[in-house]
Amino acid sequence: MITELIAIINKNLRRLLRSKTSSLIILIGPLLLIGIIGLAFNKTGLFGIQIGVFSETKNDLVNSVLEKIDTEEFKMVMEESKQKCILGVEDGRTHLCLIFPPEINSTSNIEFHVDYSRLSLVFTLLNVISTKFNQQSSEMSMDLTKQLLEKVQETSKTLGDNANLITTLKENARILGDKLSTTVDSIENLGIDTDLSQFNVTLLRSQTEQNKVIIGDYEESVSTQIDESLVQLEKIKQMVIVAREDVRNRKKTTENLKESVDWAYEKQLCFAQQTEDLTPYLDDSEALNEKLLTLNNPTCSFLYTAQKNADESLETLETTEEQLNQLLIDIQKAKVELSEFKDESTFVFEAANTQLDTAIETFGTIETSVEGAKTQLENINSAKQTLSSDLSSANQLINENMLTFNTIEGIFSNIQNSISDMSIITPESIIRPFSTQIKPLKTKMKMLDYFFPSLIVLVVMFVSVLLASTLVMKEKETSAYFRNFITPANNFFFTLGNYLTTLLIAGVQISIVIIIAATMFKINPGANLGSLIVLVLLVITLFSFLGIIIGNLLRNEETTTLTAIILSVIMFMFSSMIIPIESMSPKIAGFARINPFVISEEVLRKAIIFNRGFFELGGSITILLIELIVLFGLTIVTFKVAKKQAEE
Amino acid sequence: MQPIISFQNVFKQFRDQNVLKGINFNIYQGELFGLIGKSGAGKTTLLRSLIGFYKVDSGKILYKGKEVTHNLKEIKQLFGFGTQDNCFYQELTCAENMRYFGKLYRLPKKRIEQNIERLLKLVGLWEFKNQIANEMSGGMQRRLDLACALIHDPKILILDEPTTGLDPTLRRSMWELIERINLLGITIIISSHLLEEIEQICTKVAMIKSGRILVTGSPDQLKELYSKNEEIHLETFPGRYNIIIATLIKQGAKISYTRQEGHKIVLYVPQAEKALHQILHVLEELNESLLDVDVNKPSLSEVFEAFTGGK
Repeated sequence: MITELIAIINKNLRRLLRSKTSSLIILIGPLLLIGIIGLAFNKTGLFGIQIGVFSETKNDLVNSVLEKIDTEEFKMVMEESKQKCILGVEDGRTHLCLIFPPEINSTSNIEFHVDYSRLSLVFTLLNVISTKFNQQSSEMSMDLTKQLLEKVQETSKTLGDNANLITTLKENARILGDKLSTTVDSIENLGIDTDLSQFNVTLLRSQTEQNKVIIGDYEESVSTQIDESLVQLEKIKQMVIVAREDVRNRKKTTENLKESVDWAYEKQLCFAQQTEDLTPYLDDSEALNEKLLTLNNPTCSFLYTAQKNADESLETLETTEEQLNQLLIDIQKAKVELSEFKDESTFVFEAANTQLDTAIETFGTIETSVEGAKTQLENINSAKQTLSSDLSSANQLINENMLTFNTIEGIFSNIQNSISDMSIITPESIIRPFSTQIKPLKTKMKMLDYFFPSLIVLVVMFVSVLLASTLVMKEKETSAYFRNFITPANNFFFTLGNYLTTLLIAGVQISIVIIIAATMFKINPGANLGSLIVLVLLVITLFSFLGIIIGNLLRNEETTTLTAIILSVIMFMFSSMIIPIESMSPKIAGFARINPFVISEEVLRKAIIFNRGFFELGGSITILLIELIVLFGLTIVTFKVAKKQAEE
Repeated sequence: MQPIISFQNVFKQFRDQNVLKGINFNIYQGELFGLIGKSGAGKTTLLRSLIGFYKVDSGKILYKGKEVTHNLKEIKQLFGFGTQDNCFYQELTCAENMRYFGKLYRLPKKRIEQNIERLLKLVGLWEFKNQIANEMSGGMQRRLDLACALIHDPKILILDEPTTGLDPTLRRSMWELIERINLLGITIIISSHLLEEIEQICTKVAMIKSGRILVTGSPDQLKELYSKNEEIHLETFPGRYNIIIATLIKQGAKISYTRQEGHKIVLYVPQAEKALHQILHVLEELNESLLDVDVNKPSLSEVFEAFTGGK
């Protein structure tokens, strides 16, 4: 069996390698592939991207954005117009067209014009450019946010400083409310509802007229009595004059008596030491005798006491005279006053009469006015009720305003507290509430490192599918096909031989690719070389089976090659190599996820980039193995179909 | 004598078409057996069924009394098969092709090398052993195919249209080669639609038509039994053979049937001498110039035509 298989493989290899061109392609193809790809992608980032820029106005903001972008990766091409800028992308002269609006603000947009037909480039380009714009935008936002935060802090401070305004406002409102309440009470207590009918002005006028008559009578009586009083006063005056004359006489007598006493006192030679006032004893004869017994000279004391009494009497008489003089003056004054009173009363009565006339007249007027006042009062009463109601409403509103003021005060307080409690107080934490840092799972990797697993699968897929299908078809098309089947060799050996040949060639090619990648481009093929070899063999097997199935089913080399290429391209297209699977419709994406290319890429990526061992590949390896089993089954079935076709 | 191969009421159908319809004949050891029939008669199907490539629907194909389908591995070791399609790889050299097939027959390396030398010398290609097959001429390729068919020293060699496409010289050379091989003791079964070829080299012939064996026997036996005419090979100018034949029949000439062979027409007639007179007269009448005329003894082709319904 081994001999036969080796013979088949040997034959296949000889057939393939017999052509120098084929040999070169098989051996040099992988070298060229890895060489070109390695040189092309053995770097990070983009290179030589031309960006067309059009800006109507050039300001610092535009310049700062352009400076941010203008790096080694990107070359700026200033365009004359918007149309030329867009045309540049269409013509392929530039990769992207940037159009700045006349004014950059929050409502204006910076336009990116990209050619989405360049799928492989456009997303990477947009990602890089957007990142740069976002950086610039973040910086601008940072400044604006800083200003915003400063304003917020200022607001908080202003709120704190002016919190008492609300309190004042509340107090004023409270006072106003109280005053309104009082006013309402006052208004309600206003006796506006007084019954004006109580004002009986007519009666008053009648009484006034009667009073006028009474006053007239009284005037006459008063005048008579005043006249009589004047007469009586005159009589009293005369009597007082007589009394005054009598006092004056008594005074003269007393003065004479005194002169006699003074003379006796001098004649007696009385000294001051020899005298004592006996007046207190005059009313008690015994006390007076006892006193006299004690005195040196009782006559002097008597004379002294008489002298003193005479002085007192004189003094009394002078006082009485003065009083009588005063009485006369008063009587005269009274007479004058009575005359004046009489005149005045006459005037008063005349005035009173005039007043009463006027009053009577006024009462008439008042009578009319009261009637008007009644109406006015009714109006006022109505207005009072309205006013009272309005004032009550106003008061209620003020009370409500008080609640509102409380709410506002609470809100202001909350705002202040919220501002105080703000934990995010730096512009950075607002612009970037959480910081993101894209950390590659593997660091310091070049594009080729990431691309390498896909490259291997790509090479394996195209080589295996094309080679296996070509081998089967070449075998079917050769006349030796029949001779193979009439030999004792098991028929399936030829399929197995084709598979092993494909495995060998693809294996050699992948080995060349890996060795060159590892030595020349320092690509790490993964720590677990054993797993990698097994996986590569499985992937080659998978695609070889696909190729064999195609070869078995089809009937000529051209359609086989075409089908193999189309199938490979479909698998390639429905992977994430050009367009992410996630951008496909869910149903198609579901199929795409079990696409042998995708599964193979996944297992190799895990093995190469993440150094996963064979048994650490999870579901991917299971799917791969299931697909292998299914394809193996299909290989056998299609081989039998092909043999049957050949027989016919 | 027990036949080495025996077809017993063999039927084979492809899709709805019956290709073999009750085939019965025997082949004996050492025979050079010819199977003659027109294209589509079932020759190739019959031969491929013999080596087990096709499984027959009913009937038996016996090799030394054993059914071939039950002993396919042995049968494949015993049978060699040469085709009209050169069943080898054009990209390989003569030796590489033979070495490859030798290994598939599980021959020891030494024996393979010996057989390569022996067979290439036998077919006259030893000097070209390292020449790529597609760089060789058609005759050489056919001989290489023969060598490939013999690499495992088969007891029976089946040759399906072995000289198709070869010029007469190469064809004769091939016939000689086949005879030499047969002389080595190998039973040979040849299928061909060239009656001359079968007549020249085969010791026994079976005629097949529409999946049925019409007759079997040696060429001489068949000619003796079934030939009643002589052949007149006629070439004229401008060569209005249809008018010539129609005029001959109109004038009472006895023509069994005719067939065109290149620029010539072959007339099968019971009495060639009488027919020749009538032909010359008609040619003169029709202003046809006689370019060539030849009268032959009856051949196997006449028998074949008789059985297959030719004119």
